[in-house]
Amino acid sequence: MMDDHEMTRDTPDDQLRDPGPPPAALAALDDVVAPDRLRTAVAEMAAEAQEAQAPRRRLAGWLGGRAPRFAVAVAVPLVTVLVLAFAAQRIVAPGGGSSSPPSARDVATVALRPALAGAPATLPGGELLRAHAGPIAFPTWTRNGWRAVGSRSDTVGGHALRTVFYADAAGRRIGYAIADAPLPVGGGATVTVRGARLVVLDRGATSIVTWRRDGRTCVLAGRGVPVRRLLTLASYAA
Amino acid sequence: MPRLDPQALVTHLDRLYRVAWALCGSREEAEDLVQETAARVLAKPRQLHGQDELAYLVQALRNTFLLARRTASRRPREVATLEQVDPPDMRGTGGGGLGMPESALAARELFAAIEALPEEFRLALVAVDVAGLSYREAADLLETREATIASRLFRARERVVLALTSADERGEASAAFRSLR
Repeated sequence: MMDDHEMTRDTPDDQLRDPGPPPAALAALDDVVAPDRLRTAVAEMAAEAQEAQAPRRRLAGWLGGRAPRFAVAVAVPLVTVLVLAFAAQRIVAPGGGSSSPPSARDVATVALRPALAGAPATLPGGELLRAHAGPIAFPTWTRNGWRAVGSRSDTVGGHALRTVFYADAAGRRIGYAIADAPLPVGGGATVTVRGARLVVLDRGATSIVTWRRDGRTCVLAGRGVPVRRLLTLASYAA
Repeated sequence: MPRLDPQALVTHLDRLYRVAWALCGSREEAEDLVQETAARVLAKPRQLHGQDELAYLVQALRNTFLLARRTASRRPREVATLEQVDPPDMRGTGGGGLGMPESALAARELFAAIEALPEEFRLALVAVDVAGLSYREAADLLETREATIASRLFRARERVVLALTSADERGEASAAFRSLR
């Protein structure tokens, strides 16, 4: 039996060998296609990026055809800075307005803020609220001992964010925020609860759990709430 | 200098998904990896630097995978214990026990065989057979020579075929055993 080093060594003999076409066993790869929810999510992200990049490309093309090259070098960044400065005034930017996309932690920051609007009404059936983020409706969670107490809508790094706040009988409060895109999670511990893959970003004084659903980033956050309570709720919502 | 068209992610999505699955060994993690890569790549306009769109995206996917793996290695992976989770309420838990089509099982076995390969062999096979890159592009991506790619690819394919054949043989053996009882 060869050891690991020997097994992975590229011998001169092997380097001359032409592997030829892939074996038939690999044909099963062709049957594997991306799931629809992933396709939808990526298509949405690509469309948004294309729209965001279009003005910059048009401006560069226009200046490139009618002005000296230095105009492109000066005007394009200048216009970009002005647009960003304008945008920065209009958005909530926990990330500090950096060019990197916001993360699930940025979404959690909003979920821990105060409500700006009242609680959404309960839909007939008693399970869902009259509030949704894309195809995801916010639950009532009354069976789990929580009731909706407020809501807010924000924009974080260009992404729409809908948040509903809940409180339990002890007065503890949690925020359930849903961003309109799959944002980077940035670490955390992955756990599986009732088949749902969830990521615990924080546990302790502040608990934060995040997951992805239908191409969106969902975050449940609360102060003084055990992470297991959030995991339970998240497993129903994921 | 040509820029990456954001729609290239949609065009090459199936390939990227297969590459992600082959790298992660899990369908669910593959989905997350592709989404994470898309979020990073689309965050700002990207210049291709003479690379083919697919080669660029595969490289971005691999970089995101390595970054995630490094981050994960610093944090222990947890599985929630029963004590961490409240008992279920009146709602049904759903899911579970669903049958799996034969083609999905075949793909699962294949990806498991790929994941079990030594890193160097796996990356060569993923770059050429899964992503569809040329030997040249694979060599650039993995920073090695074309001949080395050919060598690793040969061995990787050999091992995958062997692993799948062994699995079949095991299946036949257990079926024969069952027929004797």
